[in-house]
Amino acid sequence: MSIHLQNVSKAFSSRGASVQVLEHIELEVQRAEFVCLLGPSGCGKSTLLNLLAGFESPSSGTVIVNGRSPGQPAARAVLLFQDATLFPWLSVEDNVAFGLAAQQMPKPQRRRVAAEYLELVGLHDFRRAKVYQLSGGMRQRVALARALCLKPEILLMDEPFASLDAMTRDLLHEELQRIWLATKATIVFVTHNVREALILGDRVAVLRPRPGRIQRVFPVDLPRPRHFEDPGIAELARGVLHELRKAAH
Amino acid sequence: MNRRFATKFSFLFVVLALWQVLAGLQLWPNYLFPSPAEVLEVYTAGIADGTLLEATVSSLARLGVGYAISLLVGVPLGLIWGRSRLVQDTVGVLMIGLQALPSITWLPIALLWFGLSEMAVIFVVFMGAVWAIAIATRDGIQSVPANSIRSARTLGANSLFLTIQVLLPASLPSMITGMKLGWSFAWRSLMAGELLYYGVGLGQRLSQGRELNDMSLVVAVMIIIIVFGLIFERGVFQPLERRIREQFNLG
Repeated sequence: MSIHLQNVSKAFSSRGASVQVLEHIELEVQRAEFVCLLGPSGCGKSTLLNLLAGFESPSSGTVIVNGRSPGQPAARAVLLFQDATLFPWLSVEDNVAFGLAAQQMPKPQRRRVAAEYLELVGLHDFRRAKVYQLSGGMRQRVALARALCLKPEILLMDEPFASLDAMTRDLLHEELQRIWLATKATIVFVTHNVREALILGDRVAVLRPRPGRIQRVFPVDLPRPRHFEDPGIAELARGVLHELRKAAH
Repeated sequence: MNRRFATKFSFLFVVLALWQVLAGLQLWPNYLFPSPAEVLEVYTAGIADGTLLEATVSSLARLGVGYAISLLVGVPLGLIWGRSRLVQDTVGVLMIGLQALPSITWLPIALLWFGLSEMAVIFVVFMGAVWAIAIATRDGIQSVPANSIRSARTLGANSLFLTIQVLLPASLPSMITGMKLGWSFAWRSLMAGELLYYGVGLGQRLSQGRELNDMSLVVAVMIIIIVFGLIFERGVFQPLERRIREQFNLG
């Protein structure tokens, strides 16, 4: 078992009032499984990822990541954000090598590893480039390489492709599937895009808002690599959309 | 010769010419409105007998030492101030208050603590510059996006690595503004301190000029200060800012 959420609830207090963000979340994610969390804004998807990354702690219930409580280095989980959050004062390769430098890997070695992972995301020629020279899609690929070179067992992705154009997003969907098959990391991917969830996920958990709860979990038994235009995706999307509409009420 | 340089140079020439003409009209007595030639004389004499040179060097030394200490104290102070809620709610309030205090008000205390020594003036310079540097560093630290910090954390950065590799570089644009502000406060404090305190320095030359009714000396010292202001702005801070802008591509 890679991730285990047991009866997890989370409430925030703002201006004296308590807001229930997540309620009775039960979720198990197997090793090397790709799970998408799908829901409208305000359903607590990002909060759920922050719990898994150890940036928030649950109000009640238990969160176990890689057999440990979240946030410890040994949990080996890396969170990716909607904005790539690259460091503009570092070159592309130094951005990728950031986590390796934090582990005090010597410079020649981390350059080598960074180059290897830039190759994996198809940006080897840009290793000496500055961050501002990259497009949004390229930045996300750098962020992905930066996470992957730490060989994490778990990737937590918070709408990483939401601000990209449709064509770039299609490309990155293919790339992420390829990389996931190659690295066999466990991935929890948050999105509000139904097709995206169905293209990527082994399972899609539909969340309903206020308070955030898991409404239903859909298994996606379609062959990979999957594409936006696959008829199987369109068919499943209908059922998921129906569930989402129910959830909104 | 490029055109902008020519513009600057001719402007300087026009100012000098106007000054000479005004002085030549003899509207005011010489000791109230000296001519450029008289000021030039002060320089040749002051450099020949070494007094002006000595004054400039000792003032710059005090400024340099005081400013360096402000950087060494102000940057770490701003860093802790920006990161710690406890510091913000306790010492932070005190520091904002101290920052409002004109640094020359520290001179009486400095004279009691350090006696009639270099340290007294250096202390006043330090008190003039340190708060601007600390506040700008704090502002820089506080404007680092939360997701940049979380990103670094999730990639395994500990607090020291986060500080050196993320918080400080991300704060540089704000810090450089504070360093410039601190520098000009340091100059002001130095002059105020030297005017009041007896010792070798540009401020003391100024007060000597006043006592001797020697306006040309006063003007000569003012010009020295202006020239050094320009040298540091153009030679240090502007290139530094440009480099940081390039690094961050802030345009």
